[in-house]
Amino acid sequence: MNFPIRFDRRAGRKLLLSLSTLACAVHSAHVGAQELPAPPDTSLWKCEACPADTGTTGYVDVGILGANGTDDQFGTYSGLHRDDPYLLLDGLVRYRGSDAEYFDLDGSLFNVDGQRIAALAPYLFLEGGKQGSIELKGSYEEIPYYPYSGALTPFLGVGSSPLTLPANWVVAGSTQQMTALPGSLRETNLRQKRQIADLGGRWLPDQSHWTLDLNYRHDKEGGEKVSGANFLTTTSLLAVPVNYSTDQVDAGAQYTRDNWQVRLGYYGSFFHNGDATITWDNPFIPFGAGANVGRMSAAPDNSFNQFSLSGGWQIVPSTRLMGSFAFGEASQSDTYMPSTINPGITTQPLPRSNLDGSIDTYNYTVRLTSRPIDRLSITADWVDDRRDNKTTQAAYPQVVTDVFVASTLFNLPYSFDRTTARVIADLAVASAGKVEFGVKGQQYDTTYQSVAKTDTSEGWLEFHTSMSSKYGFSLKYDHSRRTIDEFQTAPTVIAVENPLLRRFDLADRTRDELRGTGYIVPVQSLSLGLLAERHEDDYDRSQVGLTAAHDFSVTLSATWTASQDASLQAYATRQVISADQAGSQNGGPADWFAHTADEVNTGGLSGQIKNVKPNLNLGADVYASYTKESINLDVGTPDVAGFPNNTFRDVGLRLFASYKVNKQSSLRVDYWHERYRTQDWALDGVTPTTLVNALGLGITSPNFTVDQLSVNYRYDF
Amino acid sequence: MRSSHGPKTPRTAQLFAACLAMCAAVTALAAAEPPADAAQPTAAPAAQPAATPAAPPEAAPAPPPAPAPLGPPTYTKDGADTCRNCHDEEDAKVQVLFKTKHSVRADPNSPMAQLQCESCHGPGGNHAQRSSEPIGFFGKNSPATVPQQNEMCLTCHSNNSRVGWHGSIHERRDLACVSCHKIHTEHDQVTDRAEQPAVCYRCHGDIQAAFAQFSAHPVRYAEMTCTSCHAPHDSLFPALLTKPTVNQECYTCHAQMRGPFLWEHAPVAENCNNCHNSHGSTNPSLLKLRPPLLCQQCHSSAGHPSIAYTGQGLPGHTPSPLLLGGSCLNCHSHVHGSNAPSGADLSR
Repeated sequence: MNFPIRFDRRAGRKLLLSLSTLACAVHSAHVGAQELPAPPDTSLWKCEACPADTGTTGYVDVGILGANGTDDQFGTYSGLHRDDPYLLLDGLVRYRGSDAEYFDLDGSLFNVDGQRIAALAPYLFLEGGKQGSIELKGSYEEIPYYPYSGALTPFLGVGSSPLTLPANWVVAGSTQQMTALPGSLRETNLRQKRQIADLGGRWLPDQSHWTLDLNYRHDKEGGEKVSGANFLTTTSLLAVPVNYSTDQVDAGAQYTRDNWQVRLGYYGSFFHNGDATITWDNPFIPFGAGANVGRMSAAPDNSFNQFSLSGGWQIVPSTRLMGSFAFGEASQSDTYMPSTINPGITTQPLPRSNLDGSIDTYNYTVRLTSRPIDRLSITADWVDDRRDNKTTQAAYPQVVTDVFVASTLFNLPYSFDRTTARVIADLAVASAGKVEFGVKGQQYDTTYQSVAKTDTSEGWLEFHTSMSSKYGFSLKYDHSRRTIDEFQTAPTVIAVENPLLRRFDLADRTRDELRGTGYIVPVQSLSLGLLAERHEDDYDRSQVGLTAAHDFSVTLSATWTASQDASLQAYATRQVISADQAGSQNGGPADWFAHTADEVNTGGLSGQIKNVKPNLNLGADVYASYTKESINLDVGTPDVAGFPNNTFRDVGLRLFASYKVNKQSSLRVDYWHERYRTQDWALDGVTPTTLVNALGLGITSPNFTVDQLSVNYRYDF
Repeated sequence: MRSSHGPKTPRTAQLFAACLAMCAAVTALAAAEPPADAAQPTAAPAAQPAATPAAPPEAAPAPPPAPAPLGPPTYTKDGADTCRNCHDEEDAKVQVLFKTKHSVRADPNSPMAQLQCESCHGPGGNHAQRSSEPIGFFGKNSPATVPQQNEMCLTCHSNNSRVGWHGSIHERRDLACVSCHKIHTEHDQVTDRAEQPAVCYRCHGDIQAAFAQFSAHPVRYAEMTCTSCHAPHDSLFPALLTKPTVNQECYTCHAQMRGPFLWEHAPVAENCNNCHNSHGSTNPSLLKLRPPLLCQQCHSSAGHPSIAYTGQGLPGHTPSPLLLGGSCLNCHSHVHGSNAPSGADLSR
């Protein structure tokens, strides 16, 4: 079923040009044109009644936090993973000078901020300069990431390479036969920490129209993560090191005039991995001589340099042209590790010592907006994103998992080009609201993939009411159709694919979306909101692969402002995401089917009452999240075992009270209770020896109940 | 369960024709109506004269004559000093403005260094003479249209940082600057990393739910915020990202995935969102679906990729490494790409 308009790059360019000409040809009065009086002479406007905001103000928070029942997962992102007492230290300093000088310092060693979640990860933020002239910024922060606790491993040297087995290790044919395993298992943590330092500034030279900006960011990530490491059909889950650093530079020079502005920019990103390879001992009986040690690559060092030119031009008061053009190059030339670490295997030499990989990126966006008449505005976009992989192809001898020599294979340097054109018309309907009609076309070309070209056509219609203090609603329907325009023979890398399979990102697809929003203010103190969306994807020509996807969600929200001192907010969301896919065990038509469904239910209620008693504020925050993931397989015969649902439940209660002792001192008490329960059949009950040919880490899905109490003293100055 | 092809989709051509007809009808309707007068941005609903209380019939007073209009708008005599005659230190909402950047007179770009209060609120001379005279204000109750309100802000804030505003979805939805920004406040919630999401959630409540899921970016913990990835008024790019493509955005923090790799995984190079949900997911690592089913949506070659892995592979039956632990990633750990010469199967 084809959309009546088929997108063609040439036709799209012509359409855009025609509309641009039409828009420019219609010269209209400036929307909202107003006859303003001539500005007066303001040199005598002394603003003597304006208070001067000068001097130094701020606060210092000191407190103590105690927790019970913490878990690494509780510490994910918050850093609170132990039941120790924590010293809380937080502060803000703010300086304002009489000549626009300013300085802000905001820092926290550990703090309980006013939000739902305590963040015990340090941060420091500095900004200063002369407003409107020069601004300097610096910051430092840490982001902990503790996804799992209680991992068990026999490997020594966790957090580094090589990962070795104890001297008394005896290799075995299965995990249950590993006699040295029980005595070798030791607990290890899979924790990562990200440290980010940022430094930058902006300079606006006096009397010029220039703005110069420069920013540097250093991002360091350290710790351990899980990685599979196999020899043919046996594998070990390892805690491998994470030792990444990324340096980024962002610089720009911008020139701004009344009707136009332009910015020339540079972005550079330089990634370095402290570990080039990971080596580990094979705990299983080797499949071949010499396959008792394995080595795998780690993410290679790489860099990305990008130059951009962007700007806008108000051609006439009703018409504006904007654009962004970016050219980048990603490159990587890490020295290859050998084809194998197995000393007993000899292969052909490698065709080169490193990849010398290079990918050019081109990102062009041009947008024209025009308001030819008062109630009609037209927007036209042209976007082209291209990835031109210039990496050389070569034949690489293959040694499969350090065990045996296989066929030589050519690498496939994927390229693609995505071009999108869009035209949107917005028409105001008297004072009721606005109708929007839009069409979009996209063409996508690829290399080395079974689908060479796809064509997507899309149209939508939306109505939304004008902004009102009493009510408002919007309704949108969107329909798109993607078709495969051209197939090509894709080189086989590892195995020949089922010819009936269609990759969902390249397959024929019909997509329908319906979205409605609304709000109503029945009385001044109460506002109610609703958001509902439904998305349907139909991959009608895919016999194998994803065949359908559905997403429905509804969100309700309410805000009640009982008085100047009391307010209550509530929200609730239900979402169901489901998908159907077909598989084939015979290399032909589908012979098994899967239906997956995620049900997500979240909600929250928060309220605050100020001055319950003089200087006493109280607040509460309750939140809950419950998700359920179900998988149903139809293989022609009943799946007697079936899949239990994976579930996630997170319920939290937070209470706080603050009391202003005097003008400069206040106390705050926070109590937080969180109950977190998960069930994951991929982890639960899977010990290091559950899988006979896979040595696991024994990670379990996180479950905890935490109580946290903090007392904070604030001194304002 | 056999897969379904979902509900019947409407016949596309008929729908397209219906949309065209609807738009034509609406256009004709709009064209038939007399053009609306361009609303003065400074106009506010004129205050009605106060109703007089009922008096004995024998002494009904004549209603006071309506005040004569003061003529075209004019600026005040002394700028903010004129405004402060009434909006003095007792007016908390005005007083707090002097703690913000808009009030710094030493910065020649700030409103207070130019036409002061009238930079944003328009000429206030008539309002200063008679408080019932209208003066421009912002928000849902303002008689000025949203584009007119926004135009006031864009008079100063239209450098390259706003180059993507015009024609953006927020602008087309008539989102006012003051829908998200509060000017007469010392603390603008949307500029605070911890509090910004609450502002965005007013319209994007579904995203709030996404961040509450099992695996999500740390927005709930104020270690990221919406503008970590999105530029609500600066971007010409899809989804208002700060970078031209999803992948370039993700590589800002996850540069280890960028490559180029010797052995690439095509869907990874194309779009991270082929497999991941950027906001949150019920599955680990923000995956849309867990392996092996996720991988089997694109891989069905003979052998283990095409096998249907049922509940028989769970503990208590015949545990399968193709289902448990990392599933496919137990072996194919380099799913984002490999630089090992022998890594064509993404296991090295």
